[in-house]
Amino acid sequence: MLSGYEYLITSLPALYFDNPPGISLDELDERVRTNTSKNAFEEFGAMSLWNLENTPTQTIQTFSDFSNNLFGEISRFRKAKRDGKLFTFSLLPINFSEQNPLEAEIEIMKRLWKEIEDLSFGHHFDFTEVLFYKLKFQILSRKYSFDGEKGKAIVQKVIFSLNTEEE
Amino acid sequence: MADGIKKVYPLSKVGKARAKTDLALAQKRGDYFEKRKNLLFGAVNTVKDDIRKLEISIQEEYERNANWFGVFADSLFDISTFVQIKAVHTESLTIAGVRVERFEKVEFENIEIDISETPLWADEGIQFIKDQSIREIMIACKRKKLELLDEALSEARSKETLYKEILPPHIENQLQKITGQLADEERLSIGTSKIIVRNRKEAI
Repeated sequence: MLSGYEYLITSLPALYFDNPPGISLDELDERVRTNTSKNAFEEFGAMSLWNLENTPTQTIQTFSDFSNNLFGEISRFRKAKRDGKLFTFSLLPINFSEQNPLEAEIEIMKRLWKEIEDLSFGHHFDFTEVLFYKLKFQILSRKYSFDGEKGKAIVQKVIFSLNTEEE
Repeated sequence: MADGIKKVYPLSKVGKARAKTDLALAQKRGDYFEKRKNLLFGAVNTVKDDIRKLEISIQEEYERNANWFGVFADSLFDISTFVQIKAVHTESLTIAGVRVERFEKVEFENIEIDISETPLWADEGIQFIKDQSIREIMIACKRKKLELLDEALSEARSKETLYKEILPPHIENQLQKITGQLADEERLSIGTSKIIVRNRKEAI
């Protein structure tokens, strides 16, 4: 007899960094809702890659600390760049500053993904694994929202509206 | 036709002199409009060339940065709220008698970008949009300038044609006619005098 988490995790499609998630957010929410307690589902819903305050488990808190350090490093890098100063990375590759904006964003996601993989070690069929699944899902959703054609259309639309506004 | 000539240039020496003055004036005006046309033609070509260069530059920038455009579709960040134009500054100047506006700079609204709340790509994304907008606005300014210069060029061309090609043959024609008529009058007057002299001799 499988437990709720075992059943839930085995029913979810595996997530790979180089492939789009094979599940939608609504489907994921529904599966978690039907296989976990009300409290767990609320905690699952409240937690997000972009809001890691009051994390439900210690391991997620460790990830949250890492995430804060990583984004702190990126903020310091941006400030140094604005001030025309050199910056040395500790959590990101040395050549990070040479990457184009898309490569840089993917590098950040890759680093977060790697940290999740490392911290997931030893977590099998528990709530932490479910929460990490959501974080990975959010990384992939964002990664695959980066569509070149769509991005170009947005740029042209913004520039067009700026010029029209000016006329 | 003869009545028409009489109206413009009465058949007299004064009329002939006036026609000569008009002819000289027409030639002067023709030269002036030819110079103006040449200046405007040069200016129009320069502006067209500038527009073409800017269009190429816009296209090159799109191509050079196309490999990272995906970030603009980021589901987390809407760039449009971070770039707004406050004012476009231009300077008035006169080119061959035409008052035009020359682009000086674009002033963007000073919208603070919180580096802890915006994604990393926001910095380059915003800069890219600003740079491309500046080029587009420069093109718009130059197109307005081109419109005015083109209009003045076409006017200068038609006036040059009028003063150099249409009016001079007309005036010369008038002069020729007046000269002929004056010669006729002269011959008539000589003939009349001769008749008078002969009549007087016969009377004596």
